Amino acid sequence: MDLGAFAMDQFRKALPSVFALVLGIAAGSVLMVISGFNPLLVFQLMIVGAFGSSQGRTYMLIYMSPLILNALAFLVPGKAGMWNVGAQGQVYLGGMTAALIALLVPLPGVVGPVVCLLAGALVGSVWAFIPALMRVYRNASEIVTTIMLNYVAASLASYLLFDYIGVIFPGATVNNQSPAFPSAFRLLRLPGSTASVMVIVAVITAFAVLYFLQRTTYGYEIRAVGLSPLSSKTKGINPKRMMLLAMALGGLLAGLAGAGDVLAAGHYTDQFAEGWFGGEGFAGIAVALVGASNPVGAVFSAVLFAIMVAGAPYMQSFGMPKEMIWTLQGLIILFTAMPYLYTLVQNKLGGKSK
Amino acid sequence: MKGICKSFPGVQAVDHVDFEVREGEIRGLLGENGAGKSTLMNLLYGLYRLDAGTIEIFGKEVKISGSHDAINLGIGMVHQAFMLVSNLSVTENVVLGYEPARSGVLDMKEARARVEKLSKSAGLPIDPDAIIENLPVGLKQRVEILKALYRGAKVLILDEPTAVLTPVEVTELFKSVRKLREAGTTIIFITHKLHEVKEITETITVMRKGKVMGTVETKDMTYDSLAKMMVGREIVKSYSFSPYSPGEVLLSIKDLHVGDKIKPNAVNGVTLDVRTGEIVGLAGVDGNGQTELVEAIMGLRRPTDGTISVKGKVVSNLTTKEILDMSVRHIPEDRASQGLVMDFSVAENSVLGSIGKEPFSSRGTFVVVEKVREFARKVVKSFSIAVPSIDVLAKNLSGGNQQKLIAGRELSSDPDLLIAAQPTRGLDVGATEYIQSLLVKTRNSGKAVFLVSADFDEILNLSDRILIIFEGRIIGELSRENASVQELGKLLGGVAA
Amino acid sequence: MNVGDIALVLVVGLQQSIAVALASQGELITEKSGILNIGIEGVMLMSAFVAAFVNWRVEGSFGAWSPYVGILGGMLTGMVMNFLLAFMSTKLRVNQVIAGIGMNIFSGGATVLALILIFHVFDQTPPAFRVAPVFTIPGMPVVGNVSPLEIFMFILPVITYWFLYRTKLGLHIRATGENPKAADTAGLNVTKIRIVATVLGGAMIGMAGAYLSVDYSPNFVRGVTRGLGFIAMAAVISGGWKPQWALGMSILFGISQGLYIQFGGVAGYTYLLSVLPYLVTVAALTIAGARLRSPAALASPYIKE
Repeated sequence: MDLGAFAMDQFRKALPSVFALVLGIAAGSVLMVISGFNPLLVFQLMIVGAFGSSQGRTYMLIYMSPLILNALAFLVPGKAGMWNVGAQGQVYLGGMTAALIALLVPLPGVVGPVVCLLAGALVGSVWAFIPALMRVYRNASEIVTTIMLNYVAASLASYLLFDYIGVIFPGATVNNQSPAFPSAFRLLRLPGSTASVMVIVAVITAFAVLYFLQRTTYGYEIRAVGLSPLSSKTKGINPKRMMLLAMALGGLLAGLAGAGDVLAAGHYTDQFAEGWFGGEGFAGIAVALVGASNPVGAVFSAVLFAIMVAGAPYMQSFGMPKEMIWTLQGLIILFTAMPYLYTLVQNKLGGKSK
Repeated sequence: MKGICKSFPGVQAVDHVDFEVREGEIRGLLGENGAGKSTLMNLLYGLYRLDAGTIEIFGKEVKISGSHDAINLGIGMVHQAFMLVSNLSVTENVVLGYEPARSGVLDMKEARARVEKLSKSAGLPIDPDAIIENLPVGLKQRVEILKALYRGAKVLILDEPTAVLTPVEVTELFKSVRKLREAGTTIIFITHKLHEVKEITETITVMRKGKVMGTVETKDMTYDSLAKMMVGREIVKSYSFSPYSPGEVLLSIKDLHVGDKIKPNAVNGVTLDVRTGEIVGLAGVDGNGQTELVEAIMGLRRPTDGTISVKGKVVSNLTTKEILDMSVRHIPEDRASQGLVMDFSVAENSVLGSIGKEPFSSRGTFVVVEKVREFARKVVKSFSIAVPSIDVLAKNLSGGNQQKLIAGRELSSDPDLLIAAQPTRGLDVGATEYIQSLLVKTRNSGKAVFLVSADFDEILNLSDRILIIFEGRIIGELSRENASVQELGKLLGGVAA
Repeated sequence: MNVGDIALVLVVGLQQSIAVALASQGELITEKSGILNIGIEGVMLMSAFVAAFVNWRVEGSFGAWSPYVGILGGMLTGMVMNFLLAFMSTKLRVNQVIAGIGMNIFSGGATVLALILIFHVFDQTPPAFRVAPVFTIPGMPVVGNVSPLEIFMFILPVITYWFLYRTKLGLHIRATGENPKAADTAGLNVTKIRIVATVLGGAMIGMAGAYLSVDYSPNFVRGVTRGLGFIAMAAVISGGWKPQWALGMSILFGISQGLYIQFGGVAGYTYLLSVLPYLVTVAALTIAGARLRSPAALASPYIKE
């Protein structure tokens, strides 16, 4: 395969998403101006904040993992035509599972974290599977059901902390967080940083997802069902099975993200997936969309979003509230919803008459 | 209508047609699939734009750029696919867009009264409060007619109106048509059914392949003469057939009934066999049950009664995958939505459904890309698919190449039974010949081929045995020797031997 | 549990239903025309903020009537946001699901941003006047205050029903959502109808949002909607897109919320009851799911051939 042609092809496919990103940033800049801030200054602060200090660089590495994994959690079900808006809840379930194991099950060194991550992923998968079943067999909109389960999960997360952990370890839940996990459950750190290896896990997972989608029969059938359910049925592929599988995988990825978050923190708080601009699950959606619904694109997109997030505290110290990032995220998503806009502009520029 | 021309990509649908109708006539517009009759009338109704030609109403030339113009000129059309809003009532549908209202508030009483009055005067009884989705097809059609009349149609075009009706409903429809004629409405009745056109029309215009063959008085015509006009004498392409010696029965269908809520008797008792070494051609105009029959054979639909067996084993309750695994292959009617994943590449499409098998994947999970690409290249080469690379997306292929891809994919597994549904629809001459020769080769190598086609010529050229399906039943069988164009024409028109 | 408790649950429950009931009527009209407004949550949130802001600003000039001005502000916000959504969905052919998600996230951020920039706080706006209750149920001070909006909650479905089934525009809306092609061939302007329906829906969603911050509370609290918008959507779906049933489902939700408020203090049941409303919604969708009939053209942009 011609590498040059491949690169050009990928670039062309990425353009609409980049265009949306640019428009989103432009709209955000307008908003900043209205709010009395200088957009150029804001972005400058953001970049300085992210790259200029070891704190910022560490944050970038820390944030990339949940951003990538949550993006994948939206992306994979999307390939089968399923909208997984429930990553937020699936993240909670994953983190809760990991926390419970870490606090209650004595496990040795390497085994501990691995078990936590796998268990968390599995539980997250179940949390996504339930709405998937309801959609496939009862035609219940998975958009609404996954969102409802988000709220249930958030409540469960608090319940776990205060009514369960707080009961088992009386008096230990100071500052609304659980006691620290035993050191056996500590995740490895990246060399020369306080960030955990989750970012490496995330990037590897992204490539694994790419491999899954492009190089396995399941990934192939998921994509076929998402693009043309009728042709798939005609050739004997079962769309229902593929839709269920895709959602289960989405939940798996989000659960993994949650478990990773909790282990990396070393303790459990009941809002570990918030504080994240409306939730890391939703940030993941933005990352996926800007990444053109492509696993590798998601990694690149996650870098950009990680910069935004890591630079936010520094930005805030200069008076720009970090919620601006939240708003920016929403604007970017809005623009990714309009691929037709890109086509319009393309036609105008290409001088084509429609 | 004078000198009308209309073409779509790849096909000249209407070719210099002159068409004249007198006021108060019941004119039949007769022809087979693709003759151009629907297109011609859609042009009159403003749904398509003329490439060339003029239209005159009462001697005055008019411009029709949309259906509103047509409606304003008194032209109404009832299509095969109804334009009704299912969850609304009859009254609401009839008056939609022309509602009696006082400052925005509907005057339903007035609307209802108007509909009732119209229904009585046109001889089309209907319950104004019935909800459309609860009505049987015959009544739905009646609502469409009322809609057209409500908007003041003086010329009413009915496009294959009996395609979805039961015999009883057809009788009702004819009664209504006669009544409308008495009231002064001009009716244009598009159909392919000979017995109907004989029964209801006064004059008939026959079209074939986009041209008008002639306009005749119904009373002067026989089924034979009409069939001849409709089908004509075509040059029979010759393929070389090995001597006809059919072997064992591969596909056996016994008293099959297939249907659903909308069309309960789509397949209404079909019995047929297909043996090895033969091409059985199922001839029939669209809408006579072929689609449902093929879906039932391939496991995409459950039959309501009867059995389907392949190689002696009953398959009526098997899944599509299981049927495919019995070495049965299917070239579907609609290549874009049923045959290919348009956004997949040629390579990816070539293994649709078979990616789980050796050698394309190991242990049914890990795709062996090189083998897939090798296979795709082989298919492209063996079936002369003109693409610069196997990574081109299916949607960027021409229709002929798309169909060759599907045929190549299906035939590469050397199936024992091949079901080919409308395999050359929409293809140019070259691609058509290619696909057809593939079918002949398959038959010559001792396989069983079940060809379902609305294309007369194709059926005549390829089939060892011809079965004609009409309104869900097989109404006639012809062999290659005794198949004549007239016989086929009559049978396709519903006139049983 | 005694009769008094049950009565309390009902009273509180009805109060809890108001926002969902109002918003669901708006969402219903929008969806009947074929537009899927997933951004309803975000619209409610924004409207709530604007209403609180307006209320606070005009306190001086309007006194006790300022909350009503706030409600107007909320309704206007709803109409503008929905207009944007409708415009994007029709002229720009957006993916309505993604656009809705984007709208929600945007509103989440923008409202907090506004809180910080305008009020210099992180959690809630300063209190202002509140809508005065129409009457108070005897024996239930405070809880028994019946707001005019609560009464309106029962009237609105009647209006919606009359509008959809007795007016020309209503008929057009229903046709457009079911079969836009048929509507088009009948001479209707599908785009215009969808935009109008969505904007009208936005007014009601805006009113619901405003209710939360000028009536239920005298101020705007960050994240006040807490999923109510989606529950309103679920009320529409599980109510089969019929006004009276959407109201019924809204009340069902409200009562489950009422149960939490009344009995949530009971140890061990707090969290279960807190999630009851959401579980009830999921259950409703699942049970009603297979038998329901959405407007056939819901969420598909109509592109003229």
